[in-house]
Amino acid sequence: MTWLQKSTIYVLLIFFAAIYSLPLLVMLSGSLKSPTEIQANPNQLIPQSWQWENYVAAIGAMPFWQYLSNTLVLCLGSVAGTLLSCSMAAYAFAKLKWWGRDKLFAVLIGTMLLPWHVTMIPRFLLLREIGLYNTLGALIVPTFLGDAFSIFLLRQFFRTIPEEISEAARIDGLSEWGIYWRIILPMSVPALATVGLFQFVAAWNDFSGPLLFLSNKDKFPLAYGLEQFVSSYADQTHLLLAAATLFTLPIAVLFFFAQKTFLKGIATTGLKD
Amino acid sequence: MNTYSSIRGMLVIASLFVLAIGLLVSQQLLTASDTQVPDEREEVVFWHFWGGADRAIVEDVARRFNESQNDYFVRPIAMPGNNLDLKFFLSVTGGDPPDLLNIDDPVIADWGHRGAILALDEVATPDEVERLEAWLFPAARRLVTYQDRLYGVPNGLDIRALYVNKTMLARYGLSPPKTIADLDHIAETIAPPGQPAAFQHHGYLPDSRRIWAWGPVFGGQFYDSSDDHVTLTTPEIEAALKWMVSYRDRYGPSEIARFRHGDQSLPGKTFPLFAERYAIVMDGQWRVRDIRAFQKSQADRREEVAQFDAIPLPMPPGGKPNAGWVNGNNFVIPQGANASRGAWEFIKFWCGFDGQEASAAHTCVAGGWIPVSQHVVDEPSFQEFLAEEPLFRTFIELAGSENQYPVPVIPGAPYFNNEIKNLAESAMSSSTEPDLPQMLKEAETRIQSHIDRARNEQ
Repeated sequence: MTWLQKSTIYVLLIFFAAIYSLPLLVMLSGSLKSPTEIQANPNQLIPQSWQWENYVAAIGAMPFWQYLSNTLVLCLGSVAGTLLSCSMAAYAFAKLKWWGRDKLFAVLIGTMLLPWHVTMIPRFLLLREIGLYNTLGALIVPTFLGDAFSIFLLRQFFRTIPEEISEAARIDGLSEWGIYWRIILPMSVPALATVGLFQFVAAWNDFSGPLLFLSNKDKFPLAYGLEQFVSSYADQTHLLLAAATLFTLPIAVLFFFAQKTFLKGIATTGLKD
Repeated sequence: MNTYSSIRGMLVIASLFVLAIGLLVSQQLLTASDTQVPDEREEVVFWHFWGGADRAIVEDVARRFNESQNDYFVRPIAMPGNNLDLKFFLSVTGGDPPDLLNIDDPVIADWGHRGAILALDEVATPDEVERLEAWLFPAARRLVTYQDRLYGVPNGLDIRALYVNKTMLARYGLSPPKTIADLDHIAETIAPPGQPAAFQHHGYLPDSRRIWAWGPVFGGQFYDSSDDHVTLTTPEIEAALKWMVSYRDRYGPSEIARFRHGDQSLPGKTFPLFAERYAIVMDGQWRVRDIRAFQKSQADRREEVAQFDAIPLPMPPGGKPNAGWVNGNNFVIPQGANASRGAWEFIKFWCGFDGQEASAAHTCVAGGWIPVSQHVVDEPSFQEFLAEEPLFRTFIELAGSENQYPVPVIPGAPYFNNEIKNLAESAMSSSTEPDLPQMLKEAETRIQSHIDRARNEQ
């Protein structure tokens, strides 16, 4: 590649990166403006006076630490549930031979076409019947039952692991559980990290789930807390943007540190050629 | 290497264990202190949609109520306004409805018809209901009355008036309009029809949504509750629509659409009156706060401070004075509420009924909200607020008018509301000359049929 071609690619990449990061910059900039300045100069990226106290006020305006704690419980609980259930199901679909396996897998994939709203009411009624309404369990327990996308992702990865390894383990006397737990899972860290990251982000951002199942404010997650800065008559846009920045930061940091594993997982699960 | 791996594994497991324990402990320690209900008090769970700066005011009302008596303890919970109806119905299905709900959608008739909310006569004494009806402004009473029963109480009224940029009008040698003819004259002076270049300013452009306000101004009613019929084909409603469509004839539908599209590009929620895109705009009382902030920012920048006014909608000959469209945010008590009596006591406290006017006046001043009764307006603290905020006085005068009407409080009201707005939009944006009598007749039949169906649904 010539110097000119390389430069052109970099210029294009910087251009598109700037466009894509513009909303984040507006959020960051707005989080440091006073309410009057947001109203008067909403498009100016550099604030006239930097209002760092917006962050303190945003944290103080809601039970931030309690919401953060709830969010972490939701994220970690659902990541654990997803990794355990989906990897087991994926192992069965990828490595075990049983009657109707591929047909059932097609049905599983078909469930991805169902809009969330279709299953909303039955899911609500079911979770209410088993006593999980208004508990964080309503959002965590279903993840222990697997989800189609994560199962698909892990199955694709497991299929890339040579069958000879499992055969050798069987000859050495390892049970199917042993092969899954001691051979396949340790070899699948990038794929598991990818699925875990996807689930973490989904749980972190989830608004509809808490909206349906939670009514006590001591159980609300952070995504719900952001809504409290919105009003028909008197929005606190500066605090909303400060809280949104705090809300986005952990996900950005997580992706920054996990991106190599994440990309490796994506590249080896058939999602990327 | 093996030893190193096993130590690393143990550290990871130990870290996860510590994190899990930490989160469990934090779940216990961080429980909100205001979720604790004092002994011997009945808890009233109150869902509302107030966020932003208003949330603190709501929480302050709850705090004052909780301090004022010994029987009930109100726990306010801010819920997302956009999906509050969905959340509410699921909570009813889940067997855990709130005791009190404050909602800004026109739900009274639909929910009352379905039995999802209690009529006030199921909670309050007959004497209380009778006195409340007399105590409320007519507009407030209309908002919550379905089949001659009160199904809630508005916590405030949303009233529309014309905001006028007096500085801009003065530049053209104009003064605020008193009649529809004055308003048309202002429009034609600031934006003379037939101008070759694209308009940069307009004096006034009717908004199709505002047909609900102009209908009563022209003396019309959209619905006759005495015989449950939609009444779009009356001369008054037709005259109102015809007047709105006259702006289409004057400037052309494409110019109106183009100019309106420009409003959308205004950043944030900036009021188009500030950018002098219009000299006159119809909007609600909450813009008073925006005007003050705008004037302050102009003063801070050492610019000329623009002067504004808020005036009642000007009438045509034979029209009704101080008329317009009203809506509001209503308190409703859900069917199955555990503490319905406590909810009713809190409603009275918030609105100022039964001798609590002073406290309600304090709330309305804090929020910049319009009281639901003249008795609250008459409180000294509210009068002081009006003296400091003369723009607000127009809205208060309109709130007390007999001629402020909401969208009819009947099952199917949201459909009615949308159909009327769509009708006005179609007429104003039609590329060919609209046949208004025919359009009104067709809409009347369609809406009547929908309402009849909604009324017969159980």
